[in-house]
Amino acid sequence: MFRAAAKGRDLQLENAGLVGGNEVFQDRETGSRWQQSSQQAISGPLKGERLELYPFLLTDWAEWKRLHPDTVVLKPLPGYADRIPERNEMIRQGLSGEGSAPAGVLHEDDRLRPKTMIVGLAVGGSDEAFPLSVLRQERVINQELGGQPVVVVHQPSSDTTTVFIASAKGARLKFRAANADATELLDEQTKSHWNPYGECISGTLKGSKLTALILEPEYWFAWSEFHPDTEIYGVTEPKR
Amino acid sequence: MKTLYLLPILLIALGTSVAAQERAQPRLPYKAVHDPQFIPASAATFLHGPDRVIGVVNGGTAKAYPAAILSQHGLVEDQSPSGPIAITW
Repeated sequence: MFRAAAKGRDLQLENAGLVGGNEVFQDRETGSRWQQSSQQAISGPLKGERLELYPFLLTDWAEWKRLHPDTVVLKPLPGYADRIPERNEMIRQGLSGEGSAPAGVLHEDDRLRPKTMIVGLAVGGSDEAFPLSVLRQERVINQELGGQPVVVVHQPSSDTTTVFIASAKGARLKFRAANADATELLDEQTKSHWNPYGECISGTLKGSKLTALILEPEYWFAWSEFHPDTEIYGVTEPKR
Repeated sequence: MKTLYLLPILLIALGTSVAAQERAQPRLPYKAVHDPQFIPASAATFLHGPDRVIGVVNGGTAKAYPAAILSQHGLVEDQSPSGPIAITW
């Protein structure tokens, strides 16, 4: 998810097929083509420009409604509404990691299976992929990336991942889960309690808010072909 | 009298052909949405607790974009207070 604007200009985008098995969009204003996984223009007058990621939360309906009871919902167009149950089934199956890479993938990185679901994080020129299966196990990961301390939080019950710069009031913090589902966290330095959305709910840091970073949930094949130098959390095997 | 006996058979035959048509319904266009419309959560009866959504909070308004809709369009364009945004799947 990104801002549809580049070089101070708003863009209207259309689907423009696949490159490397990954979606490409074309803007009406300049005809430039934009790669989803890298957010970069791969052809046209804006080639090399990058669209800025926009903050979003990938979660389940129950959790989103709990967070935002007044939420509105995108209305399905006629016809498309009928396909929702089968689509949800396809999306569930897509989380299994099974299956091979689509045709046309630019280069395969066999450190993970191609359809392993990961969340990608790019900070300060460094990229790291966190496999969903590892996140479900570890739930809270304290990590250094691109010279920044980050904390990645995963709530298995809703498969919701969030990530933050792990510091508040100038102090670097290390977190751990305060319950089995990581719906509450504890920082080791002040023993303050936090929710998984970066808000301190009790303790000496109460009221503090961590700076959120934007994750990119993707299949491994798509993340790795456009982030070739990516690290993988929990995998030390060097790239072949 | 004869017609009355035939009627149920006709109805069954009709029902079968409608079901066959539904199975063979054509693919819907994989087409971006540029003017998204929204409904209140209470009207989104097609959504169930475990269904994946992309959620966005824009200037105090929370919006959910169900993955099962996004994946049929690839791209939904919407407005944020700071300009247009693209929601992709």
